[in-house]
Amino acid sequence: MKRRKFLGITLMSAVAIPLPLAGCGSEGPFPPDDDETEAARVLRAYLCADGSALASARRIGTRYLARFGDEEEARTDLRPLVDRVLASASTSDAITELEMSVTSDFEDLRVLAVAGWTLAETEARICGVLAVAG
Amino acid sequence: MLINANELAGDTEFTAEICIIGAGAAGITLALRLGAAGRDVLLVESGGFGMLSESGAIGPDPDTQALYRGTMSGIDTWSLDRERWRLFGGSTLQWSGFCTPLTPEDFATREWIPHSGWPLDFGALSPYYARAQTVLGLPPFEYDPRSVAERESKPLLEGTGRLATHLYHFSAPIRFRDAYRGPILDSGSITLLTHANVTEIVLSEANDRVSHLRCETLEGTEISVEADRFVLAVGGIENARLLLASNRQQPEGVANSSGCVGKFFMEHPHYYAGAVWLETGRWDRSFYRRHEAQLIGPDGTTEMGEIEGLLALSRTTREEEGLPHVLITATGPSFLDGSETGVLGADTVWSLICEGDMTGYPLILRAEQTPLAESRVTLSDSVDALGVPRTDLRWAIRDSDLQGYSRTVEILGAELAAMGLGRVHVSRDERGRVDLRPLPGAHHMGTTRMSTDPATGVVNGDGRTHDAVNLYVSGSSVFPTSGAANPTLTIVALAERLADHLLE
Repeated sequence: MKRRKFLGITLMSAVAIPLPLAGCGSEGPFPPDDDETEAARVLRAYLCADGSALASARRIGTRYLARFGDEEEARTDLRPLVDRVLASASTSDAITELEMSVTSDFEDLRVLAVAGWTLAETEARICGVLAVAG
Repeated sequence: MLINANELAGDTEFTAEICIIGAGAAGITLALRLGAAGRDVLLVESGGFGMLSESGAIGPDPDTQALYRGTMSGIDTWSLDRERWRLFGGSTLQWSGFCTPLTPEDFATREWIPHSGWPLDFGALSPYYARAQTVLGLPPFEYDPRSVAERESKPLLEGTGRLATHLYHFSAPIRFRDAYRGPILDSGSITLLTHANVTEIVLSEANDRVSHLRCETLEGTEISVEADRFVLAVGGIENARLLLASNRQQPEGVANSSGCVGKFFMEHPHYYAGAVWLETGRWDRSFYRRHEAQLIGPDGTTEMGEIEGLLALSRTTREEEGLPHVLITATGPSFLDGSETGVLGADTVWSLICEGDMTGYPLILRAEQTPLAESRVTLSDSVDALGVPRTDLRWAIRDSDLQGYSRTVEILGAELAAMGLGRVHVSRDERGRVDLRPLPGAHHMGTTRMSTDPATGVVNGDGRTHDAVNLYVSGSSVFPTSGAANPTLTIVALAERLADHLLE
């Protein structure tokens, strides 16, 4: 099973977890820029996320972004991921690189807890981008 | 020989070569070993052989059991008269049978665990662990999970190198009341004195040795016991209570010049930390479920036994991260089997199950507690029916331990995800740490801790008190650190070792 599907299942479970409502629904925590919008397209493909899974990703992402002091700080955190995704030669390449990044995060203990789940830092940022532009 | 103190005609004096106070796992093991060597042993037990309760089970008589009542001023735990039983056989009448030795590292001084370090190492106790296996009705002493798993062709989970496996054996569980009543009574060298409650340990004029014990029945009969040597073996809480309460001659109690008696109380906090979600069928967890296996002892003896593997972080990881020892169970029953759905809620669990991809299991931790002087047994202001001050238990856990348990769960989650096996979900408190509410393991340790230095411990490496040359302590109260292992196997091993020492 691909790890991204693990995350997808993780996100499905987030439906039942009460999360801050700020930024949920049709709007994200702040308006996306063009790069974030484009990156979100790729990230949705990475997660195979639609419907309730996407809503859950946005909820987790919103929770993740809430730990930053302001929009600029949050954007600064997400920027390297956005740039990396946009720099990939194709969506397929981007997905492969994301999978490698997630694995590397877990192996090197670059992890954090969001909504109770132990996520790779890359995963949390994926959700953060989707919360903004998904 | 059996003497029921309730049937004595009047006040009585006893003398023996060795007097053992307490007929639990430690006391009975000692008595049998010493009796077999022909030593004159008096085994003094507060209770009798138990009585039938309303439910039809054997239990202690209520009036004797009431002597165990006390108060708790720290972390809530089970009431003091619930998990300790005051009768011949002691708490073995209700133990679970889980057996594993402490690891070599548990005996060592670890810089990140304050007050760690035993005055003996694993190698010194190994031969006695092997004897303890027999006492507890266990197969041969083989606890290396690698050799057993290889023999069974079952895989061990090591992750990226951060995980390790610990092996448990399971006793039937053996009930000392039933298994050893006959051998004790049939021994020509052992006198078992039941229904006799030690109320005071009396020192000589020089306060450097025990002169005699004062005992009393609930009926009021007074008994005096003199012996060449005395062994206190009434459990991790009661050992401390009796020493502290014997304070007529020395206000701090007997054998307490260090001030350590009662301090450093340790439990094995158990936590239902959350859930592990595993891709169904991906991980062969057969070694981590209870099953029969062939075990080979150091002498080549082979026998089948019931075993189970438990996960933990590797020693290297614990050292790098500065973490206490935590044993992890995540193998069942699954939520499909109707176990608690934990923090996720039934709807979410059901949606995950309907996916058909993942199975969830409760994540259970069994943790080592770093020694903490403020976690302690003291005397309360109230007294029991014999006029002995009752116990107050103030159980406390270091905040750094709670952080360590949280980090352990985090690393477990990372390892499972790195291997593509699954995910960990736990509830977290407002500080982002795993929300852990401890359940006690009924393992009472540390209150008369071992140390080579009389200033930092109550007994030396042989179990002899630093202050009274003919007074020894046996049981888990002498543990300087708790490790994460259930204590019964180590209790019996230490008793076997003390027996050899007393026979020298």
